Amino acid sequence: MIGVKFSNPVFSSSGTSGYGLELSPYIALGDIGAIVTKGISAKPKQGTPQPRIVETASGMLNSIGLQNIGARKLIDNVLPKLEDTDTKVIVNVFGDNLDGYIEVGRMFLNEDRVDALEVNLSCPNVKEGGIAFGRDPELAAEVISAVIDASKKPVIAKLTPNITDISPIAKAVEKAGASAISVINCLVGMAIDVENRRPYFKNITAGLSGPAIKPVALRVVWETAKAVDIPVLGIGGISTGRDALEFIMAGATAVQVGIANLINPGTISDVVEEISDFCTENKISDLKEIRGII
Amino acid sequence: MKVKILSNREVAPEYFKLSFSATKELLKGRPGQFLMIRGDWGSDPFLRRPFSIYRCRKEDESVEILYRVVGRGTRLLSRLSAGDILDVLGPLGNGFPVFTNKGNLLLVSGGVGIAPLISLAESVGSGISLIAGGKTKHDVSYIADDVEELCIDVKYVTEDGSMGQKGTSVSVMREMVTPNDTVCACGPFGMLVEVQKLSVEIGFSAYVSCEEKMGCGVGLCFGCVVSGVDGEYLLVCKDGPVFDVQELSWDRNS
Ligand SMILES: Cc1cc2nc3c(=O)[nH]c(=O)nc-3n(C[C@H](O)[C@H](O)[C@H](O)COP(=O)(O)OP(=O)(O)OC[C@H]3O[C@@H](n4cnc5c(N)ncnc54)[C@H](O)[C@@H]3O)c2cc1C
Ligand SMILES: Cc1cc2nc3c(=O)[nH]c(=O)nc-3n(C[C@H](O)[C@H](O)[C@H](O)COP(=O)(O)O)c2cc1C
Repeated sequence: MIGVKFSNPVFSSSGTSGYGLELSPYIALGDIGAIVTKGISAKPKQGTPQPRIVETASGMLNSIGLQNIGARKLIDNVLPKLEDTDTKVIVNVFGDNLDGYIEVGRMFLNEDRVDALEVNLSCPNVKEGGIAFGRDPELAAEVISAVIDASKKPVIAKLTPNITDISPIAKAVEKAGASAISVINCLVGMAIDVENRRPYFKNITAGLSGPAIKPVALRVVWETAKAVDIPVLGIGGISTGRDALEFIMAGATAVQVGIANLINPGTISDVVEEISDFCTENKISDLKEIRGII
Repeated sequence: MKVKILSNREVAPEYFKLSFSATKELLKGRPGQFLMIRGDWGSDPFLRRPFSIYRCRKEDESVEILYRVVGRGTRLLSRLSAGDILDVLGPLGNGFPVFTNKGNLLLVSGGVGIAPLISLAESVGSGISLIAGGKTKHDVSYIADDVEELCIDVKYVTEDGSMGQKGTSVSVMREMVTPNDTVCACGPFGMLVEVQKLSVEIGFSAYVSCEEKMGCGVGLCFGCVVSGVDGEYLLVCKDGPVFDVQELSWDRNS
């Protein structure tokens, strides 16, 4: 897939696995198909003040605000530590504007430890960038082709479900040269503190993820896979092998595990094992046999 | 990791002591470190809840937490009983420093903030001074048996005077503390702010155990940030939960 040989199709999703190393006490990093880092910008970003998290029925709302150490620190302090591990590394990147996306993309031009970039066109928590790009097919295409030019890496477009119809935007990023599409980022949600009659989050809205969003994610993955020929990475509420298999049957080539990592940082091993057991029991020799069968 | 609950007792209205069989890994827990815990209850509530280590009984291979029922997770926890399975991740975070001189160590708690301090008292040894404060008797009374077992020199303080001295743990601390002391405190945010102010005014050093809502407890999600003194965010789960009180900015945290 996307010109990279992944050892398995189960990745860790951006923002739910730190910079990758944080998972290492709980899982052999080599057992993860690919680590997708926390969203990285050219310069470090502080993120939003508290509160950042509120739990909801079978999920959580977050407003982290893309806090990150910046590309320079990632390159200098984190990538060397990943050198000896045999997992693939996908850096999730974003910018406040087109130049910001280009700047961060260019910083990975000569970074061989990085196998691909995942371009976040879908963060619900920041005003400047993110989601605005993911709602406009032309802007999204412009960002994707600019990041490909700047980084010379395979580029994955991470799209938002907070849109009426995903296919125009999915087709636009495919045409712009994206190697794959990741869906979904968080749904936009909110919570209200009834006692104080105020929104719980300073930004009012926040990003919803977890088992609660899985049915929506599955539908969006299915629609995306129908709309494009490039691989689709399925994300949203995956915590078991059966969840992952649903996404694969809906058309995903690989999946990413998100907040399930927060509850059990070893989840990915369990998901990989469960998929492989299912394949053995059902005499499936290649996931292709069940991919997109719906 | 899955462990078996040995007992889960209500020790005062809404306060519970829960003890479970612990693995070698869990028994390595140091005072001030915490555990991320959830019951075997499916995906709702989804996230684990953080609790300090209250007692670490190496001889019985058991660990005990002390918790107050404040919401859904702790209510569900309170319904579990001996024999039930608990899912525990830990020990996590940085505990209190290792203290060699217990003579000038003063432990100060507010309410359920007592939890990490009992384990600190146990590790430092008998005779350590503790000021245990709460709104009313029920917020402190349940530590009596542990205090006796561990020979802790305790002063109880309640806001309504129903147990021990009337006042707050900080008001009592203010009367006792000297510039050479080291204070270790855990309790509500407002109390920790006062500890910081007094530490500057009087000149003692202080370590505090902080709380913030946590997603993971292991540094994956960046949910549990507090502001450091230079304005940068620190993670309670990885950089704390125990901080030197001067490391944090107490204005911005409020
Ligand atoms: C490092 C650390 C150690 C802790 N140790 C203990 C302990 O030893 N004993 C104990 O009783 N509690 C401890 N807490 C607090 C405990 O984690 C919360 O009370 C618990 O998560 C509440 O869960 P709930 O589902 O019952 O409440 P929720 O339904 O999640 O919330 C109910 C209320 O509790 C508050 N709350 C929720 N989570 C936290 C939190 N992490 N910190 C402060 N307030 C919170 C909410 O704001 C709300 O008002 C600790 C917290 C941290 C961060
Ligand atoms: C705390 C948190 C932080 C996140 N940060 C990012 C991010 O920096 N970049 C990004 O593209 N997605 C981010 N996401 C979205 C996840 O990668 C994922 O798309 C989403 O959570 C849905 O998957 P899940 O339900 O399995 O968690 C974040 C999600 C959470 C919960």
